[in-house]
Formats: sequence, structure tokens, C-alpha cells
Amino acid sequence: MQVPSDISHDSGSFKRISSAQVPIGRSPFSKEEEKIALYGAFCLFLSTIEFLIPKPLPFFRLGLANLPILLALRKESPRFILALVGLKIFGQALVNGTLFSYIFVFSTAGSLASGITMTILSFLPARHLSLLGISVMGALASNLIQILLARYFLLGEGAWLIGPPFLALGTITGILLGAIALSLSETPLLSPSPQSGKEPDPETMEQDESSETMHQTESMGAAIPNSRFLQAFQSFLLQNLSPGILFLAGVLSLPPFLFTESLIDKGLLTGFYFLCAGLSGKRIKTFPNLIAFLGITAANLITPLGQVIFYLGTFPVTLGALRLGAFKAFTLLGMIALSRFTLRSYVPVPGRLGAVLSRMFFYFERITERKFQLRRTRIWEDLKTLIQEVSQEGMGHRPQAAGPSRTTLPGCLFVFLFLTVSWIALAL
Amino acid sequence: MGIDRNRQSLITSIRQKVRLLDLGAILISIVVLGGFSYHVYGNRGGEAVLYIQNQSKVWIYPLSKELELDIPGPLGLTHVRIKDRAAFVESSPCRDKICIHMGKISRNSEWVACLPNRIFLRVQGAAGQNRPGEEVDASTF
Repeated sequence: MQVPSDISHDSGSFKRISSAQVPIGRSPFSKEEEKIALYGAFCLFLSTIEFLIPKPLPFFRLGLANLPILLALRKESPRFILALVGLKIFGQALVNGTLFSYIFVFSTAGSLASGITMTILSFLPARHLSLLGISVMGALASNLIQILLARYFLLGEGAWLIGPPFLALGTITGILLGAIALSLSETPLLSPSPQSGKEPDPETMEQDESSETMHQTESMGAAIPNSRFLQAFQSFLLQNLSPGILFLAGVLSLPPFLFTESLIDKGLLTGFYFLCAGLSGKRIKTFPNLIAFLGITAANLITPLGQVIFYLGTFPVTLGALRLGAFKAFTLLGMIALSRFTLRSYVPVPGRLGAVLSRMFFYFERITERKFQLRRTRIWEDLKTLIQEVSQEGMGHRPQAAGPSRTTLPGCLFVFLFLTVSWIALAL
Repeated sequence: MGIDRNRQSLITSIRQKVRLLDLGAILISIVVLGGFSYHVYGNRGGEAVLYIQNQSKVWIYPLSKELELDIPGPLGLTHVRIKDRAAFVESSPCRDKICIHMGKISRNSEWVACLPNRIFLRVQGAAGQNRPGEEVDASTF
């Protein structure tokens, strides 16, 4: 299986390191931080691989991103596992651009529920409970909490109806993932590094040539060609807006979007955010978004509310339920679009968390960049080799701040206009 | 042939590592799934809803939602209220106010009607047996 170099969901978010000569020195991260970052990058990589696998149902997920967590159980401390879970949650939210959306809430709740369950169960002796059983229970905990959240935030009573098939699929994927983990568990992902105390090569390394964003010419789906306007707009965003100010614009746009009660205003804002996200180079897929919109709306029709518009057989379709379903669907999709427009994966998160997140993204970028031939019959060995090589490459690489660190006056004006559009909906 | 042998040895290797509590975990998952399915598809009578009908339109509201509604009829607006999982007519432009005196409805197939104003209310889906004679056909109305 050939792994393409641009397989991230949204590879336009990643910025190449600037072309400064980087003196090699000791890594500023502890061994544990390096390991967590590597495992986290592996989680993101598998999440991206899963994205490529055709699914029988739109929302069906194998949960491949949980494989590194399973493999780390019983080998690493509970603190390591929970840190890895947190890193995976934030990493996926930033890569997929869903930090400001319900998806982040669902992902956090599900990942925490399964992470805590699996960590607790890992204390049981392996001779009684293997990774397969742990994986099944982790999947159950994750799915139960997500059904609960879907009931109260998204689908209403319809969430109970999709609960059983969701749980059934979760049990199957839990077994599958557990079996995969079981077959791989004896060969460690990361061998103890023989070079942990060794000074790296004293020669300086030349980083990537360009400081431009990778895949800057991504357009909305595949329909809009890379016009000069698009390129100019994307260039304007990169050169005049720091990640921090974009992030702030996203945060400040959330309240008016969430509190507007008008369906039309919510729909218009959703369209506006999708337009911005598409113009900024983020890949917007129409079909999955349409399916999500229809699915959420249909689920809310289960509880009739208001005037009956028509009957589907004997099932009444009511105006109130239709409006409520559309409202919730716009809320979810709008938040996703807002996140995708205002988040870059190198958001300057402060402290050690930010540093380890950046490290994880560095490894993730390295893993996905390499044109590496993953052979189906030797996929695990090839993956391990890849990760070992990336890990060695990371030794001594000093993290660099990527992206512009300041916002210009035109950038501020853009943010002001963006926020005005968001808040005007609330005022109307 | 080589791939089949590899697959066979992989399956054997996994089988050897499966433990008793793994089967217990799968069983727990199946039991939870079964219980959930029964609760959702089997025992669940459906949430109680209130059907409101006038001469031309039908409205449906869950009894769990507290609401006040004005339903138009030939004489004017009949004010219907849903409160504490029961529905009742609070005011109506009819002369005798029989619909108001019929009181609250909350059980399956209980009904209230304002004949002069051509408004009909019926509960559907709530738990509880119908009392004899309580069933009514809305089409007759």
C-alpha cells in the first residue's frame, strides 16, 4: 500500500519549517515527552489511514487511532496513557479543524471514557484479561457516552433508535481492534532507543526550502480551480493573520453563532463559514456534509412537534421537528466550518502542552511526508521502521515557530469584518 | 499459499492469547446491546404525544414539553395547555365550556373535544389501559 504524502485530511494546515539553518543540539523534550509525541503522531497517522479506508456506513469508524493507546497499555504508566489520550484528542481536533464543534465534545467524551476504562482494566493481570477484552470494554464505554451526548445535544429521541446498531458496530470494531493489538502486542512499537544519551551529528541540517504552506492551492472540493483570487486570498490570510488572532476570531464568533435563534440566520452563517473555509484552502466535502445534515434532521423528526406537514406512510412529519432538526444540523456543521477556517494546527498553545503538541505535529508531518512503501504482508514491520527512522530524525531537531507571529493592520480589519458578520446575526 | 499460511498462523496466535475475561467482556457488551435494543424497540410504548385537530390541520406535541397553544376554530381561538405531562383546554370561545370542564388528559386514547369550535384533542402513546368506552374515532368527530 503506497502511502501518499498528502494524506492528511487537511494538509493545507501544515506549514513547512522555515529555511533557517538549524544547529543540532540535544532535544529540549524529555524522553517521555518524545515518546508521547511519537505515539500521538502514530495515532494521528492511523486516524488519517482510516479516513482512506472505504466505509460501509458514513459514520462507521474502526477506531484505528486507538491502536497505539492499546499497545501502550501495560507498557507505560497510566499518566502516560491519559496524556496520550489528551494529545490524540487535541491533535485530531486541530488536524480536522473541529475544535469549536460538537465533534470535539463527542471525541473528548468518548476518548476519555474509553481511555479511563482501558487504563483501569489494564491493572487486571494479562493472564486473565487481554487487550482484546480491554478494547471491547473501551469501545462500549466510548459508544455509550456518545449516545448519551447525541440524545441531549444533537439527535433528540432519535439517538435511542440508532443506539443499538451503533453499539453493535462498536462491539465488532472493538473486537477487531483488540485482535489487531493482540497480534502486535509482543513486538514493541518503539525499541529502547540506543541513542538516548548520544550526541547527534554535529553538522547542521538544512530544513525545508520553502516557508510556504504545503498544498496552498487546495480549493473547495474539486470544483473550483486555483484562481488568482483564491491564491491571493490564501496568501493574504497567511501573511497578515497570526494563528493566535485567527483562533481568537473563532472563539469570539462562537457565542453569536450558538445563541442566534433564527434558523435562517444560522443557515446563512453556516454558509458563510463554509465559504471562508473553502476559500482559505480547506477541503470541503459536500456529500458527507449533506448526509450529516439530512441524518440529524431526520433523527429529530422521530419526536413530532408542531403542525403536521405531511405523512410518510403513517409517520407524521411535523414542521417544528423539521425546524429543530435543521437548526441542530446547521449548528453542528457551522461549528465545524468555523473551526476549520479559524484553526491552524500550529495554534500557539502555551506551556509544555503546546510544545509537545508541536512536537507531535512535527513527527506526524514527517511520517506522512515520507513516500514509504507499506507492504500489506509486512505492514507492521514497515510501520515500525518508519517510526524508528522518524524518531531518529527527530533527535536534535529543534522545534521552530511556524507561521507569522504577528497580525498586520489589514489582518485586523479582516478579523473585524469577520466578527461583524458573525455578530450581526445576533443583533437582527 | 504463503499469505493463507500467514493468515492461519495469525488467527491461531490470536486464539492462543484470548483469555476468559475477554469472552466475559464480549458477553457484557452483547448483554448491554440486547438490553438497550429491548428498551428502545421492544418495551418502549413511545413517548406520550398530544394530537390536536381542527377542521383543516393537525398538530402533534409531546406531553413532556410544557406549552401553551392557541388553536384556531370557526368561533375563535381555543387555548390549550400542556403542563405536568397532561393537556387541558384553558379557555375556549364556545358557550357552554364543556371542553374546559372535561379537565386534563394524560393517558392513552383520552380525549377532549370542543364541538362548537371544531377542536379535538387526543393523547396517544402514554402508558395505561383504556377505560371501556373511552375510545373514540377522530374521523367520526
